[in-house]
Amino acid sequence: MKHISSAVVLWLACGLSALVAGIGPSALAQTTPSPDGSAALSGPSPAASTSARTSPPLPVHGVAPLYGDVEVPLGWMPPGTQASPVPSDEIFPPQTISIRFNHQLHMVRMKMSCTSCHPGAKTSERGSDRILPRPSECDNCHGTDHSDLLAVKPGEDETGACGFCHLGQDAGQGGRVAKLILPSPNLRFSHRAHYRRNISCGHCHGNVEKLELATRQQLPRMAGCFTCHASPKSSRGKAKGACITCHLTQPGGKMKVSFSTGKLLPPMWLHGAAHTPDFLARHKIVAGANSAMCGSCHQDRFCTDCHDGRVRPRDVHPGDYISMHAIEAQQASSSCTSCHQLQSFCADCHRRVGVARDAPSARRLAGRRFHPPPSVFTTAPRGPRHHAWEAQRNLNACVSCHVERDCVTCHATKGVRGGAGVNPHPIGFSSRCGAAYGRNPRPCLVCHAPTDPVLTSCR
Amino acid sequence: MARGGLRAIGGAAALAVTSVCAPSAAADFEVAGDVTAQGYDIVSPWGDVILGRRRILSTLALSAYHLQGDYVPGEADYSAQLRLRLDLDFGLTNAEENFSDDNLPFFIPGLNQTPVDLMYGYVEGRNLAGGWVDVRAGRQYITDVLGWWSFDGARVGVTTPFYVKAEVYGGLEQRGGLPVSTSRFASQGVWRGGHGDFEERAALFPSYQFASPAPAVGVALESDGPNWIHGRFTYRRVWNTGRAFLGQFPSPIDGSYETFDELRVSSERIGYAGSAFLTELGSIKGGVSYDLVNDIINRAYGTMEFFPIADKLTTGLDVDFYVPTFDGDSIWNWFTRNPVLTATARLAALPYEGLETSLQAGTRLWMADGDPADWARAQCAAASVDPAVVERCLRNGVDPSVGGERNFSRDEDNRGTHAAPDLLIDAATRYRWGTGRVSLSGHLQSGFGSDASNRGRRVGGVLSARQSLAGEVIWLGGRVSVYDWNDPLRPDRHATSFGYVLAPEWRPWRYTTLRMEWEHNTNRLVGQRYRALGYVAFEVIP
Repeated sequence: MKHISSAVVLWLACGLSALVAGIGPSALAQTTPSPDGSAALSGPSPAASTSARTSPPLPVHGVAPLYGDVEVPLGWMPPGTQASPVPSDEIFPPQTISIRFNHQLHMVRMKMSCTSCHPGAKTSERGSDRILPRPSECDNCHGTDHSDLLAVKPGEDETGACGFCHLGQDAGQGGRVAKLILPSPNLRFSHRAHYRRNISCGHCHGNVEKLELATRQQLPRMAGCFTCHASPKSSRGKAKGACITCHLTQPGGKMKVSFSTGKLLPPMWLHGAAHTPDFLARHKIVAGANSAMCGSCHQDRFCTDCHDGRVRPRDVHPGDYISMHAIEAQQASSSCTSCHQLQSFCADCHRRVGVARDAPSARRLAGRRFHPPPSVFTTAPRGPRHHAWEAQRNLNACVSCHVERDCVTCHATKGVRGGAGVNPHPIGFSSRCGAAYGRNPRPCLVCHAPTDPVLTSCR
Repeated sequence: MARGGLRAIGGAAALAVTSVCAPSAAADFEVAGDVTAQGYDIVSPWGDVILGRRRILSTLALSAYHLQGDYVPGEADYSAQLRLRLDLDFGLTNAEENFSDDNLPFFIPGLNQTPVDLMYGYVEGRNLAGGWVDVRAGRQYITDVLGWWSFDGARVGVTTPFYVKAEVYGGLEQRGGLPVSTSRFASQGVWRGGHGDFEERAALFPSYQFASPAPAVGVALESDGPNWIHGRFTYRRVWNTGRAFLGQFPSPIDGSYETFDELRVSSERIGYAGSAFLTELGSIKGGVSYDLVNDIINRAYGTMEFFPIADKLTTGLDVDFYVPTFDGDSIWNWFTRNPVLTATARLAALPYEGLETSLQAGTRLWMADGDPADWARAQCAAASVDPAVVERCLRNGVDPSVGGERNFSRDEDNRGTHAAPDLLIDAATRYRWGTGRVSLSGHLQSGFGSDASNRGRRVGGVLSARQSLAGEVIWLGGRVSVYDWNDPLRPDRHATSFGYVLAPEWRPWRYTTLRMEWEHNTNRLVGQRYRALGYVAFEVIP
């Protein structure tokens, strides 16, 4: 798959050729960047050369976003920076910028526009397109000659020296400039589409014209993309806010999430879907609200491995889980039903091991009782350990072992249904039993004979 | 029957995929499979080995994408997907699985009835009719506020220009006992499956109901467009068909068992879930599901999150409300039961790159009708004014000949809601680096307050780590756990367990994994427990 790139490169005004080109040793001898970029353009700065000898070197212009590497104000950063202070490593892999460049000087003082140096921004359709200016485009002003990248000729004044723009440890060694490492962004992006909708560069990259060097920090944030793509604004056009509008996909249409720089995960702010260490326990809140979003990355089989799985996920059921699952069922039974059918998955095993009351006769554990003694658990009066409290609080736990017959032994009506007539219904049930009977009379008829006057009154 | 069904579905799927794919040279295919073999013993709390598990579980997934040929984003796109599962337990005995008079002391109806099942298998068309229509047909899942559910049928979605998607679906719910199906997706509370060889003697197991097709329909309306806000409204109804036993005991008149076979509601629910966020402030999410069979809210949850430090710190509140509900055929829908309410505060932080931590703390309230601490004395007092009778009642139980207890228990004044709280704390931290990770998690749940002596306690933690070697070809994994638990209802079952897992893994090729796991647990109840597991997974993407 050809990786896409684009937004990455607006700030680099010259010198991609440095990746491959060598320059003459004679030219390298002239590379003495002025600490004051603006002065350098209009002429050498006398103060620069003297101060460099007598005091700690002054910061050099064009090597940081702002002179002296002071912090860039939030308002000059790309939209969304407040939510995501740094660009994603997975989307915009780290870069090595070996170029010194002053955007402010070119754009404000020299009144150049972004597209003066990055004309490709008007036509680029893919993120992987390189829209850096060709080195030869610098030649007009700097007096250099990049027409042959294997034999670049420096300009006559300081601004035309190789080292005026090209930085790095290799500059001047063996006639090669330092390598510019600018990986393609892992993103689907059309500069052309945005340009044609009159979306200015600053809408995504912030106030680059106020900066000197534009770094990776000026790359877009997803939170910023959402200012248009998340809303039904006219500016988004046909590009809805679906994940795969911008993110790379695998053959099956799911998002590509594994990159050499890491695994792409949802940011904290995106519908609370950040995959924090507690996400496993909380993910139902996200999946229940918007399972399509989960499906952007996860295939069905990712979900089924746990939810319909029969191999214990250790992160869900840690430690000696078989030994302690009973206490967990007592404490968190609502979670069990997320993956398990109580009357089959749970009860089948309980029948096999003889814990269930309806276990086959040969499996019953003679002389051993799972529950507290009948005098505490079953026979009235209801003490704190009576089964009624457990059932009311946690009926799922009962259902994971018991079948209907176990309960109706006491709770069915006396007579034809063979019970002891102990009423299990909640207080006030008689007022709504008619509706219950109307939807499904079967459970009523398990405990009540069709001719039972109570049932007749419900009908 | 199950194996025959598998062959039929497998053949049909293969035919469908190959015939549709034949002219499409640009289609993408994917084959993925895995085999897990494991052996372990289940030991009763009294120390006996009562079950030998010798299991092999294997799945095979086939996917074909872009069946139409070249894929153009936004234009019609067709795909087909299927996943089969084989689940064999060599620890099962013939007597447990197969009915006969001789096997009756061991026989368990419905046990391992479908060793092969189709987890999902569907053909899908997206962006049809100019991007308006999506269609999916076959066995498929639906995940929303009503739960995680599977059915065999068709689903049609229509995307409107009004920021709303409409969806309608219908078919048969996946049910245990039917060919290549599991009971996983049926509503809780009914023991149901195929009767096969013992159909004529089904009355031996009157709680075990007959498997029959369950028609289902549903609709949903979902927002589409603005990303910062999302909602899905959904409604689903499932019917039970076929025979079901009624009385659980033979008729005293003729010894027969009554059955019932009318069309009836299995489940009917309506629900809504929504979420919204502001990137720099926080998010809010919530969902509610209303059970129309029971006429109650059976589940509701909500969460609020705030981002005090962007990308670094999240704080929030979670609330979950749950009431057990069951299939419309189940008697337990009409038993007294109460909500379980859980409320926690949470904090998740990323102090620096690679390190993540989370902390949740709160309470879970277990409700009951009446105060268990006072109930018994009041109940006995209601039975008699004679102190001797009351004392005898408290010691031996209510004497039915004295009476009075029934009136006490059905008196509304004695059924005020009583809540027993549990304290909940979960903490986890994880550090990931390029070639590995280490994580530590801890959990505590314990009753507290006046009713603490009736509630259990569970506390423990897990330390796990993984490291790749040799360019991610070899992975070494391991975990150590310690848990302590105590159940006042079963005081003899208190134990502290120590366990460890060693898991070396080899990835000879990009999509191939071979892993061995050795697990050893020890506690005073079961002594030493061991589990050996082998896992092979592969993926082929031509």
